[in-house]
Amino acid sequence: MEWLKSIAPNLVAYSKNFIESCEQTFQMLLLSGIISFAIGLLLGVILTITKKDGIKPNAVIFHVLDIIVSFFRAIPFLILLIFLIPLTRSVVGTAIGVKGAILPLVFGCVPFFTRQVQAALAGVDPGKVEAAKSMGSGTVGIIFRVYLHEAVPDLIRVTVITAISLIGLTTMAGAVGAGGIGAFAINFGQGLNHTDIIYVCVALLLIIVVLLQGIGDALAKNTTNKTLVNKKYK
Amino acid sequence: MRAENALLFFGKNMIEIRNLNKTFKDKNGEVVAVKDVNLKINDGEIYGIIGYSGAGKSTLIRLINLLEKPDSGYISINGQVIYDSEGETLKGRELNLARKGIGMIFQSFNLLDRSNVYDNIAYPLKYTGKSKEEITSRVKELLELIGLEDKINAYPSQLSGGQKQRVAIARALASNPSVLLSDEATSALDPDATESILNLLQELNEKLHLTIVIITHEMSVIKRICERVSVMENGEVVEEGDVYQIFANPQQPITKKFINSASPVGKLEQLLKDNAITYDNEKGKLVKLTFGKDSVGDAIISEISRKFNVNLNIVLANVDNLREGTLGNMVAVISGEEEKVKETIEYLESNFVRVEVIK
Repeated sequence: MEWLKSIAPNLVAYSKNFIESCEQTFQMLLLSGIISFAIGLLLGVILTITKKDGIKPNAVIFHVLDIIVSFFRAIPFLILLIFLIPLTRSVVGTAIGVKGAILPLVFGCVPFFTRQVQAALAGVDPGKVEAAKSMGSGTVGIIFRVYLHEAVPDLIRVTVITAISLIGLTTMAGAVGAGGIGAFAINFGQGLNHTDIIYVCVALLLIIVVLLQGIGDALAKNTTNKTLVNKKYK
Repeated sequence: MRAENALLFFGKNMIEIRNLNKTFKDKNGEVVAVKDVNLKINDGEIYGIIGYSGAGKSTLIRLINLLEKPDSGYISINGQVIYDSEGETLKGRELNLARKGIGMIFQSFNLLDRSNVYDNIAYPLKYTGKSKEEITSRVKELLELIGLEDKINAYPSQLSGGQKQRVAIARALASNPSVLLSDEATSALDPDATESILNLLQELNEKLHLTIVIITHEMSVIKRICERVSVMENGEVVEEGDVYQIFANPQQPITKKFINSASPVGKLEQLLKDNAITYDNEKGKLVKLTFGKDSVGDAIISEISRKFNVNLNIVLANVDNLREGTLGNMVAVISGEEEKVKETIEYLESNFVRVEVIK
């Protein structure tokens, strides 16, 4: 503690705010991350199977979703945050704080993740899908037993990429009153001119990103051409 | 013998295809992939379909289990109508169920890379109401059939091409299909692995009475295991019949080309082009002799040379062991007195040797 005080005295002085903002960042990450993962995966799968040479082609569903995803992907996040204020207010009752940040974060994250999921699923050899069809697998069977099963390493990679970009989004959400590490760095670091706070915030984000990337890489490597836990049959 | 018994005796149709058509449309216009194809494939036979890439053979085999949807025509397998443009066509669950009765193997194996051998073979068995014990015993049975019991926990990335294809065969056979469709299954394999896969297919054909349809561009594959063959060109079946008959007496230029590709005698054209065969044009005739199963065993060459006092210079020769019998081919220069040469050719023909005078 003494050591920390000597290198970052202002951080220690505002440690309560710091810990609170860390909690806010993790809340935002976790909540919007889980929701975005589920929605993005679903949309990615739907776009993959409904495209022209997919297993359940449907031009209407494909084009409508495709346009919506492209639309939200085209809007810069900071503008999206403001654009969505009325919607956020009507859905969750408030547009500020962690609660108010979840919806815009999901809207900012889902289109990006959807495209990443699409790319991951496009990497599954169409021959495997054809083989599954020839063995009598239906649409649901092919989605779970071929597409999602074979794309696991790529899905892990794109999830990590998305999670890291989501961290960036949460700090931006901080700028409009969502709190979190980003807001803490701006208000207490830049605003009060305590550079040590900025440095610590940067270091903390760096550690989170490196950890996420490391875990993701290890998982992706250990699921390539195998299952994570090897099954043994006698 | 009563009529239906006679039908049984001669083998019933396993696959029947009538007037099948498929056209692909793209920006550049239409491509006719399969045009008015009619096929009858017997129960328990190994049937080959040969053609160059783009001939429509891969489309044709995909039409059989409706991986591609035909434009018009009729397909039935084992008595069940799969597709009928003028009647009922299988869809949804019914189609999925019917597909379990039609195994398929591919050039690129198409195994699940993230599943081990056991799970790959068990793929068609899972989620069908079978117990874990039933699935395990069936997988083990299949592993024994393909001779890879020790690879049960291996992943596809740890297997050779031939082993992967064996696993793919086991997987295709897991739900006891009556038909196996093979789409260029040996084209990505080295000669040794090709040989072992063809041996396995033949063994399965005999042991399980499995009907096998083989798509290939290699005449050697047809020669090695097929009983009957169709030759495809531009989406149409241009020649069809017994492999032995096709080899002994090909009609279409493309068929001759395929046969030449699988025989040393096929080098003749190149040799002629290079002027590598020299002989006295006045006295000799360059002939191609085809010895069928009725003449291949006779010592006819030495016989004619004694009998007619002609000389034979053998340029190329080959013997093929087809499923139905042995077939010999020879290119030779017969030289001697003109009258004698003529008599020799007549004598050969009367002894079941087909003679083509080339020059």
